[in-house]
Amino acid sequence: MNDHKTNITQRNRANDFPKYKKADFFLLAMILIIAAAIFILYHHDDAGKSDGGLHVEVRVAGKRILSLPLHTDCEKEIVNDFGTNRLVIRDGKARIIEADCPDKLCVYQKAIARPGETLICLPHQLVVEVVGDAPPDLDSISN
Amino acid sequence: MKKPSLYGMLIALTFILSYVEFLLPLPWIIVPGIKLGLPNVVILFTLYRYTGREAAIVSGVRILLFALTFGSISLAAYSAGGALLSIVAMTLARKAGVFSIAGVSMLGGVCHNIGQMIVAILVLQTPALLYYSPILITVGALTGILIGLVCRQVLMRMPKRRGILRDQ
Repeated sequence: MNDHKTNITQRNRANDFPKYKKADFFLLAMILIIAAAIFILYHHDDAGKSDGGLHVEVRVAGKRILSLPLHTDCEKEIVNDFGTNRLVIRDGKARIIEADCPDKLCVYQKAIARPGETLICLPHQLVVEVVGDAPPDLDSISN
Repeated sequence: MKKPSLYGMLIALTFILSYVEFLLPLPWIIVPGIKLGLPNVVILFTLYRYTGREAAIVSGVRILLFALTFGSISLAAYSAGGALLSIVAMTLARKAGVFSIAGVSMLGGVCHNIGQMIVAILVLQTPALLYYSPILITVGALTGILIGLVCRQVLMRMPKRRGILRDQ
């Protein structure tokens, strides 16, 4: 008898909390459409870009401090007020292999190679972004 | 909700879940900011059993505690931005009444990731982060639905007028 009672309460509670409603699906569809639209916006012109001119741009707190060609292998230590990150460029891909930030999320991130992709270290306010063309005035700063 | 003990319990629960999530290895991470959002089960529960105000307090204290214990204060700004936007959105969505818990939580997950991204764009002063918004939005929706379904089970099983979590 007790079991029966529990079942009724359970069923009533399930009515209080429906698993899904119609509007959920509209919302989900809208969210996915927005995500797809932004994705297409970023990727529709990728095919025309050649790999030759790609650079990685290093920015700290929004200020550009370094620009490196993606086709030349190199290793750089980026030191700023917040801490240190070690950036490696190999086989046309850039990644951070070492950092002294608390969460190490920048080290876990996948290597980047396509324009628009970024490596981010939030605690150090560091952004490494792949860009199509190198701005002409940067060589003097990076050396 | 007036009892400090209730706040204490909810905050302790959400704090523990933060720690569990902190311990989980994330080999699959591709974008910073992607998380399962386990602590949000408690936040969502608080929102449904009480109001958005209580949920915001529990969430705010959790973020502060977590930042002081495991993270850094600067990182808390990102979580706070996400939490604020998601709690406001979820409170409104719940009041609208047309969404299920999973739907409300889905919106919360998406808004959490958007809020985090907005703070990151402001701090780093680069719109480059928008590149990751499609994946952040999609993952936010999926984790939000999962968290919502878990919270629904909790709400169904937790008696409203009896036991410790009594309404005031």
